[in-house]
Amino acid sequence: MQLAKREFIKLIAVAVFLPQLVKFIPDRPRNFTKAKPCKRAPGREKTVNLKRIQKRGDWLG
Amino acid sequence: MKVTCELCPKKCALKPGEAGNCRSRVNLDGELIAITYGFPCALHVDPVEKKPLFHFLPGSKAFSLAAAGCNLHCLNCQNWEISQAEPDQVRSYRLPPKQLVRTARKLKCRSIAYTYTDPVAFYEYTLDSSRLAREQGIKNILVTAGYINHKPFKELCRYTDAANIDLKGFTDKFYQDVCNATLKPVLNSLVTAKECGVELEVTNLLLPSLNDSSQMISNLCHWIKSNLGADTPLHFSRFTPRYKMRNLPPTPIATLKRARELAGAAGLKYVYTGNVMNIKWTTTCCPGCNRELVKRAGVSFLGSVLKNGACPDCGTAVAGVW
Repeated sequence: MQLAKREFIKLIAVAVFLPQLVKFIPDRPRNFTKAKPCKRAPGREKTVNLKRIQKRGDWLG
Repeated sequence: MKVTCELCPKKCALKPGEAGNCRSRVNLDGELIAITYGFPCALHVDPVEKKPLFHFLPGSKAFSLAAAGCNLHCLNCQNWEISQAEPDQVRSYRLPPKQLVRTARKLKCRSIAYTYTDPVAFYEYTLDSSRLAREQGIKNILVTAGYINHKPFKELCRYTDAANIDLKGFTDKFYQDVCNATLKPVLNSLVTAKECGVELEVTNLLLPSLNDSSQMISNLCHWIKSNLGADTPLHFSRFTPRYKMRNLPPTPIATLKRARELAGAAGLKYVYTGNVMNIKWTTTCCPGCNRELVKRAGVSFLGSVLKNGACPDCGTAVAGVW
């Protein structure tokens, strides 16, 4: 009875901690479909000029 | 920690600090960050015909935007200055989704077009802006190569009203050699857009000697007819030498004429030609009686005689949002 109890505790411990350990295996990538927004502009910023943007973007296809 | 971006079929596995193939998605401390979110580099008010969309609110204005970067690297890219640039090398506007929708409204645009580069590269910005625009009664237009995984594309289609998807060629070899991509995901996206009820038009840019064989054009047209329907508008675009394909001549007019004939023979009802000034080739004719219904000159809308989306003479309905 005592042995069965000990085995059961061991089994629970493995079930709880094994997934936690797997997380720390190096180079296991995390998968993302969506990315988080960035607060800073990647490069230099320019100001929105309503008159300018009303023009047709003919230099772009 | 490494992250894998599952947005597009390239599935880039990024080490910390590394950017994906599109240059706009970066692994920062184990998180995937969209560095161009809310920072478009090009903003313009275009006629919707310039997308090109010929069967969607003709004569209306589309507030058009793009952020730097693209997940494709077509050797003939027309907008390579921004699509193939590092996002930190181009100047950007600060325009979060709320302001974007407000600006489109202020400029009296009926739609917002996510275009020029590829909205796949600025997916989250497109998705959030589309959701907001839909709430405020503004339509959403995607102009894309459709190189995206099924799940995220389906989610985006929920908020998309119209799309022009580039079908750049009809062999895997062409996609691999010229675009650094593959054909199958693009075909899947076309079918997904159609299934989701998006008003869909297809563009095929004809590159001399690379994708202009009669066989390839014919296969492409037959595929469109059987998978998307004969009502799907198809635009054949004329190539002009750009980016890394300055060695090729512009598409001969005879090739465009041949492509139009092949599309007609395949049973497609609405076939147009872009980058050529020929009013006849940009006019919508009634599939029933051949009457000229919607006239355009290049990308300028000249007028329409449609009555409730149908021909006033024979009453044949013309597919689209009029």
